Amino acid sequence: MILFLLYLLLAVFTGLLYHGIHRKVIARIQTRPGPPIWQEFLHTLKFSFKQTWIPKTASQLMFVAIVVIMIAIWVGGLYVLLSGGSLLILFAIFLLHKITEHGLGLSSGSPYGKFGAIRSVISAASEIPLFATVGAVYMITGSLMISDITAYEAANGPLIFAAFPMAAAMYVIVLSKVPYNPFGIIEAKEIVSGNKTEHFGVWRAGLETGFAIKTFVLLAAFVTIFIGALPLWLLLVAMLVVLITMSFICALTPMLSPYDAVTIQALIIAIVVVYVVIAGVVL
Amino acid sequence: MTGKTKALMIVSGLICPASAILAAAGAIDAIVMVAALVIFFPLFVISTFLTWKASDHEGDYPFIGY
Repeated sequence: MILFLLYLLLAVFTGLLYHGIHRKVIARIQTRPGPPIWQEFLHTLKFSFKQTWIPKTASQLMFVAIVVIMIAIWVGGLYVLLSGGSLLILFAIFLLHKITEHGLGLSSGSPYGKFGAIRSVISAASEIPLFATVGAVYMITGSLMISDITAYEAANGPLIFAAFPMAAAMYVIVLSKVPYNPFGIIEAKEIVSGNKTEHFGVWRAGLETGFAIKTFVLLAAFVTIFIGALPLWLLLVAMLVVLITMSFICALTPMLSPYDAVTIQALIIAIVVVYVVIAGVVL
Repeated sequence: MTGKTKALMIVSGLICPASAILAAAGAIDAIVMVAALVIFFPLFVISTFLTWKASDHEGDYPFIGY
C-alpha cells in the first residue's frame, strides 16, 4: 500500500522526465539542440510559482475542478494498472479523460478553449480502436483482468505477436495522447494551445502533473498488456523505448488536420475490426 | 486564501501517507486508501502550488532612475 504511494510519486517524476526526453528526441531528429530532458520539471515548477487567477469569462468551479479531476482520474488509473484490475475500468478512465479534456476547454469561456473542446469530441474516434483492442484481448486471453492477461502472457508469450493489429491500434491510441503527436488537434497551434489556452500558472502546473501520470499509466498499460509483467527497471526501459519510437513519429509527421486525423483513426478501426472478424469468426 | 490553502495542503498531505500506512497495517481496506488518494492527492498538489505561488498583490514599481 505504501508502495502504491511511492509508485504515484514515481509516476509523476517519470512522466515529467519522459515528456522531457520526448521533447529532446524530437528536437535531435529535427537537428535542433532541444531543451534539457528535465525541462518539463522546470516548466511545471515555473508555472506553479506564477501569479494565478481565474479568468472572468470562466466558469469558476469548473475551471478549477477540472484540474483536480484530471489528476484524480489518472491516480485511479494507476491503481487499476498496478493492482491488475479490469481493462474495462482502465478504458472507462480513458473515456473520462476525454470528457475532462472537453470540460477543460469549455470551462475557460475562451473561443480557443472551446475550439479545443469541440475538437476533443471530434477526436473521440480515437477511442473506438480501444473497444476493438479490449474485445480482441478478451477473445485471446479469455479475461479482461490485467492480472489474468499477464498470467496468460507468462504461459503463452507476449500478446504483441498473437494480437499485433490490436497492439498497433493501442499504440496509435497512446500516440494520440503524447505531446506533439500528429493527432493532437485539440491543442494545435492555430488555436493557440486549444483547450489548455486559459489554464495558466498553478492550474497549468496541476495539468502537467496529471498529464505526467497519464503518460506513465498509458505507456505502462501498453507494455503490460502486450509484452507482459516486467520488473520495474525493465518496465521503465520498455516504456522509454515505446516512447522514443513515438518521438520519431511525432518528429517526422506534421500535425494532421482534424478531418485527416479522424480519417486515419477510422481506417485503423476498420483494420482492427476486419482482423477481429477473421480471427474470431472465420478462423 | 493562503491560510486556507496552507491548511488544505497540510491536511491532504497528512491524509495521503496516513491512508497508505493504515491500509498497509490492515486498519482500512485498500479501496478506501485508493479513494483517499484519488480525492486528496490532487488537492495536495493544487494546494501546494497555490501556497507557494507568487502573491497576487501588485509588486512595487522598480526604481526607474531619476
